[in-house]
Amino acid sequence: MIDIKNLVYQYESNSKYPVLDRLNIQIKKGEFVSIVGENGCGKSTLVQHLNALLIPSKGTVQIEGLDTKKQSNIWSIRQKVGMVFQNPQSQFIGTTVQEDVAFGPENLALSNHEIQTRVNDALEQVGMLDFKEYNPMSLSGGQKQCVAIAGVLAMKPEYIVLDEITSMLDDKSQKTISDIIKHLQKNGITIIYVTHRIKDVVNSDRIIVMSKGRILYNDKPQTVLEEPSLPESGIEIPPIVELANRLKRDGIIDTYNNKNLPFSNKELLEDLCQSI
Amino acid sequence: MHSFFFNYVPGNSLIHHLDPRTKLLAVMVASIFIFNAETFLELVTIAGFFVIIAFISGVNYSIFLKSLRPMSLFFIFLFFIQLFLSEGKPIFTIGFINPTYEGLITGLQITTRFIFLILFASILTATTQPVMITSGIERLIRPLPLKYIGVSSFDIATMMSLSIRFIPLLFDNAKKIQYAQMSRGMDFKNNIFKSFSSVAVPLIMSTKRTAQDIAIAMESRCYQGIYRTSLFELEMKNADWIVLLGISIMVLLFMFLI
Repeated sequence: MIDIKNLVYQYESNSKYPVLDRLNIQIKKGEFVSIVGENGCGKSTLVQHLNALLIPSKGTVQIEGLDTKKQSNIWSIRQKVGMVFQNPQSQFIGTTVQEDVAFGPENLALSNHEIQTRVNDALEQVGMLDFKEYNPMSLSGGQKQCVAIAGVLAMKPEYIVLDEITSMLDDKSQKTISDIIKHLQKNGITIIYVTHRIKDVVNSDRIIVMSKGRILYNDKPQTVLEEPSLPESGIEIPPIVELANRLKRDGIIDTYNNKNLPFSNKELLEDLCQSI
Repeated sequence: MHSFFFNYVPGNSLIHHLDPRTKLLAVMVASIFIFNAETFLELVTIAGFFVIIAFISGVNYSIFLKSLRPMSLFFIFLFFIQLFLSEGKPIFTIGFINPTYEGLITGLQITTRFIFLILFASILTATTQPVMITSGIERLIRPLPLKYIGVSSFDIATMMSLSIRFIPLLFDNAKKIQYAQMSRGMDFKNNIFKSFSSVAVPLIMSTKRTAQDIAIAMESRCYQGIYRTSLFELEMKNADWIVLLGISIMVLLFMFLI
């Protein structure tokens, strides 16, 4: 479990306003948690604490009971929590796909045979095994992000933080990444998904909405999306969800199909038909 | 996007299958021979060796010649410096321009040495993947007491890998910045000095930022600069020992003959 208690983070100790202000979050194993919020709200700063890239100014962050403040825990934490960043181009180290994916296992000083096995397994999971001899820089944006995910998977993490990984991708690549995320979750990996687009988070178990370094909401997607004050936090609600909310408030729809908010025209139509 | 410095050509030759450490040591020994070669016969012998090894590698000769292109200005500079600044019997005199016969011979000798140096190094780079070269260097320097100067052989190998990866990226970024500045009216043909700074400043800034990002990405994947293993395991085979024995015999013969 990830346990964040009273987390405060300031870039400078004398700074008047903390970037993160007294955050309390628990993430259970196997959960799919999305962290949303407008740019500059502290999402990326928060998730960098999970990998011990940043250390709390006050409060604690514990990964499976390991405190990130303890220097001796850092490498175990980094193995448990893998991070994929927004721009894959600036996280490639190898000159070929397989060299890059092998970078993490090489740092763990694994045997040559184990590294080969992990590289092949990770590339297979993201559907990039045929590209292992390629230069990662010659791949498309979506393929680059798949390689970046494979690079983290090869370290066999228990948690994966995906920091705005689809923000630079087209719809088709976003769908590919979304399928990979579902596959990873099925395999028992905890997903922490950072985004500023609410439409990306419909499959998550829980949404954490952040604004100005604080948590505004921390609940199931349908509960958070029904909050009338959500747009005030700078989050743009998908029109279909807004319409569904209004229809429910006006009593046109009684209950949602499968008790979930409709996220597509088809789902809304089904809800309307059922109510009428 | 391509690299000027690493022109690996996949192949199945004896040279391709040699351990990178053997090839690195061979290039080092070849460099010593090249810088000791003074007579025309010695240089021709070295050229003969190059032709034979390049033939065995199965790599097209044009690949090796292409590796000389980025250094061509340096070769010309080296030759003319020797030609005009060496003392001796003048070929002709026009004002202060005074090329000499001795300068001509020294210039040709030194330039030819550098050309052979690059050619032998290009056999290494054309027959060895960059990652194998860095692994080979790492294994060769691992026994050295580098910890006393605050680095490890793994640090040096990683720095080399990153350089190989970043050189093409730098060229790519420079081109992107150049196009961006051209689209905003910068005249690169008639305004050389101003246009240089208009590319250099954003390039330095973006490179610094990329370096920071890559450092974070490396740390997050457990890079500590200490002992690490490699995807490619190096293994000295019989052919390596035979080549090293041959090199040792050549060195001994050279020492006794000279």
